[in-house]
Amino acid sequence: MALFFYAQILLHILGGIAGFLFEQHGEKANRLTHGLAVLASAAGILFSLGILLIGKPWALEWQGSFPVGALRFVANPFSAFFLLIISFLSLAASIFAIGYTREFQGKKNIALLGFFYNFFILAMLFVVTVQNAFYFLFFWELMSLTSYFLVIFEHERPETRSAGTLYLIMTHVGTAFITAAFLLLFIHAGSFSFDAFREAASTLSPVLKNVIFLAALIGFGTKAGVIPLHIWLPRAHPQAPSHVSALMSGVMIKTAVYGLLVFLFNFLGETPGWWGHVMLAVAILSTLLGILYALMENDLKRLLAFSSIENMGIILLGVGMALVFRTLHQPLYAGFALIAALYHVINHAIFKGLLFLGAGSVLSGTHTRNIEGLGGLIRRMPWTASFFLVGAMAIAALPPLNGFISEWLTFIALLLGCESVSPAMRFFSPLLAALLGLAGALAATCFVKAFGISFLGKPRSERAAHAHEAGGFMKVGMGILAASCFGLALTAPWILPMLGEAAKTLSATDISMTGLTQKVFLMSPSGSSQFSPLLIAMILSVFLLGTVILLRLTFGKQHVRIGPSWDCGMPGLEPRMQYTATGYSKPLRRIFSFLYQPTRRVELEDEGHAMLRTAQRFESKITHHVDEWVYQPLSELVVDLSRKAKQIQTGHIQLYLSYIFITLILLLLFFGGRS
Amino acid sequence: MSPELAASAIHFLGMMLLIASFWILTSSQIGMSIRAYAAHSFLLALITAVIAVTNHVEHLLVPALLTLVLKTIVIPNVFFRIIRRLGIRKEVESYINIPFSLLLAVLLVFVSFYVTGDDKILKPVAFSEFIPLAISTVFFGMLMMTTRKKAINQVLGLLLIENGLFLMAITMTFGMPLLVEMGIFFDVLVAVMIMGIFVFKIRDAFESIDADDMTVLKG
Repeated sequence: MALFFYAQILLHILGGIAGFLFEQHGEKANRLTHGLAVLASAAGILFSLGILLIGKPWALEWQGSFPVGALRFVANPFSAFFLLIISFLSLAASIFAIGYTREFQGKKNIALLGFFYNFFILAMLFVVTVQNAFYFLFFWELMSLTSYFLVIFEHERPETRSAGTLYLIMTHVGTAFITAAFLLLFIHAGSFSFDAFREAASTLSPVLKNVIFLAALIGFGTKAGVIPLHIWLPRAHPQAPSHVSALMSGVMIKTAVYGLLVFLFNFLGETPGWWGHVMLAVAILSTLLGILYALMENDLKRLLAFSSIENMGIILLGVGMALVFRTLHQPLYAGFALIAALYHVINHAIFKGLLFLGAGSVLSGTHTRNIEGLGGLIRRMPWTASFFLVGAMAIAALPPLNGFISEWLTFIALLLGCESVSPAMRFFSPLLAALLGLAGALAATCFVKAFGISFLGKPRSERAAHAHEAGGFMKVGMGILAASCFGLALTAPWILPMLGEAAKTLSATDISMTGLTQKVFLMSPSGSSQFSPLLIAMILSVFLLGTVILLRLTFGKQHVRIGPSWDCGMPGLEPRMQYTATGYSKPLRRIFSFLYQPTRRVELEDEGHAMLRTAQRFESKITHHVDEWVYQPLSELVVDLSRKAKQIQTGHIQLYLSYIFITLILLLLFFGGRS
Repeated sequence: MSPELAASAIHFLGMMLLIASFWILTSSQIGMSIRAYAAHSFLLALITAVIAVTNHVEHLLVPALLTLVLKTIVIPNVFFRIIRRLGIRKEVESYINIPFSLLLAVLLVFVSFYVTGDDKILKPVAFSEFIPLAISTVFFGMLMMTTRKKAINQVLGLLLIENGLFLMAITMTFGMPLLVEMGIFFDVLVAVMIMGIFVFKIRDAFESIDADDMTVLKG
């Protein structure tokens, strides 16, 4: 079994390096580097599935000569779950990449892309298995750096470079907090090993515990992109090549969930009640604001990135409820909430991966990401359109797709709060459930817009009119994920026990899984509701097929007649007369105007009279408050301080030397004086 | 050598070393300060030899000999050649005048005696009187680097610091393994060569070796 894991690592390393053999032949490098990544991911899927199904953990230890403890890897059901997600999504993304990177050929160095791509995946695999804080940080940093180089792969564009810089800054701020959290644990436990952290958890003082919690929350929250630490995410994710965006949004930000869960459930022992409340507050804020900003976005990939923020919020809602129930000593409910969060982790990885690959396919077919310039793609790109539709339906939580399952579980977890012993939770949890419902409805609106404006109607630009369908590899990559959207929904009653294993390993408490599934039904642990995705799917398809058959029977076989749209008697319908993305989201811009504070500018030019209009310009913008209130003043402050600090940089070598000299003398006087 | 004789020889040599340090700092001609450096290195070689003999660590004689050859003869010669090749002015140009740098130097000697006064550091060492001297040599080197204008003086300052560190090392450890010492000497020689080349390059690029001109390199 472990052989598969070694094979995966080896193939990724080989895949990273082998591309350089054919640096001059883009296509050969492409096939080699991404082909090896496909093989590696396949091996990884076998390995992690093996661990999950058999349940026997695997461990590898290497003593090494560094004074930071042994380098230890463990794949238990919990980390195998994350390994599975990473391997599965990278399988689909790598297949997609074989087709997708063809457009870079001759222009960019594919071997370099493959190098960073393979090592990026490798770093993520190590992050979720390594059991030593020092090496964890090392691989975490490796993951951040390789993904930075992937983000700036198309560095000719200035916005890509600035997005990359922002990503680099934010990710290092996050890493600084994570490092602080680990160092505090190290000081307490006296070792970098995770096992030592676990053993020392019960003796942590409450103050230290709270400080570590906040540091971990900020650190991992930055990577996860929770509001208000999200600003890098909607800028950096869209700039990367699409298969990398899929991996970044699909799995990289999930490693933050992994880290957070390990801290909360393993390293910090008993949790105070307010942690869960803070987590829920952060989560609901990210959920609502994430989707509200996504709604206003007209850049397809940015829209998806904002929607990732929303989905991280949903995952953290589950984590928050798990914390709350753990504090209230209701392990079954806590386990259920944790399962809901983990289920959404895998679901979001799948459908967001699918949507990013779909956006990549649109991008390579039309060379634009602006929804307003698309339209009518369903005719020219039927495969991409149907795959994108599956992803959009899944993310909008429509049954019988996988998004619905995990959102249902999260709902139940929230509603279980009504049955808890805490009066605050009894009041707030239905409120949170209602807000989650609102977010779900907004997500549906958002993806109706994304799909409807891009794929339906008439082409709004030359580029959209001359779009071409994705190639075979890209179709396969998207197809795998689209099929899993159905698969993960229909097999939910069998997946749940597996997630239960993962949750059990993490929280080291026994969660009785018998009450949560009954045959094909998913059960609420309190027995208040039950739901079967299989049954729903059957009922829906019976209805659909029944309607078709009934129509056939009553009307017989009809000929399809294609005629012009009704034009109100004014001939000459133009694509410009269609509903626009901005127009579609207008009602919501009005409703939530207190939040968006939209500004718009209309410029009219005419030759002396309104009838002789020569040009019109329209500009509409919304306000991102976090950017304006927090980050702009912050960046101004930093620039200001740097300018002040620059004054001591005169360029005189003697002055620099005297800084050293004076510091040395002062330190000697301070520490070395006569005792 | 009897212990009394050794002790007075050590005292004498230490005093001479400090005087040589002052000499380097106060020379108004570059040639003179190089000669002072050679004298300083010569005294250092003598001190090393005395320590080697009194403490019976004979392998210290090798570094003593190397100091004599390299620092007293080879490196000063390299310096004289650089000066000849560059054809620079012989006067030392300084930001502060010589009496004032002398004053600062005296202050630094006080500081170095003050900061090494802790008994914990000095008790176990046999020739503990060299430690403040070593530190003040380092200080003098730094003072030289920070106050002089020409790049060649900065190189000389660095070599002075190196002398101070060497003195510190042999006093505290009675000689490191020979291999390490050989390595250090080789380093110093190579450093001098490289910095010599740099000085030429700086002259080529800026048409002077005035370190002030390098402010244009600032971002």
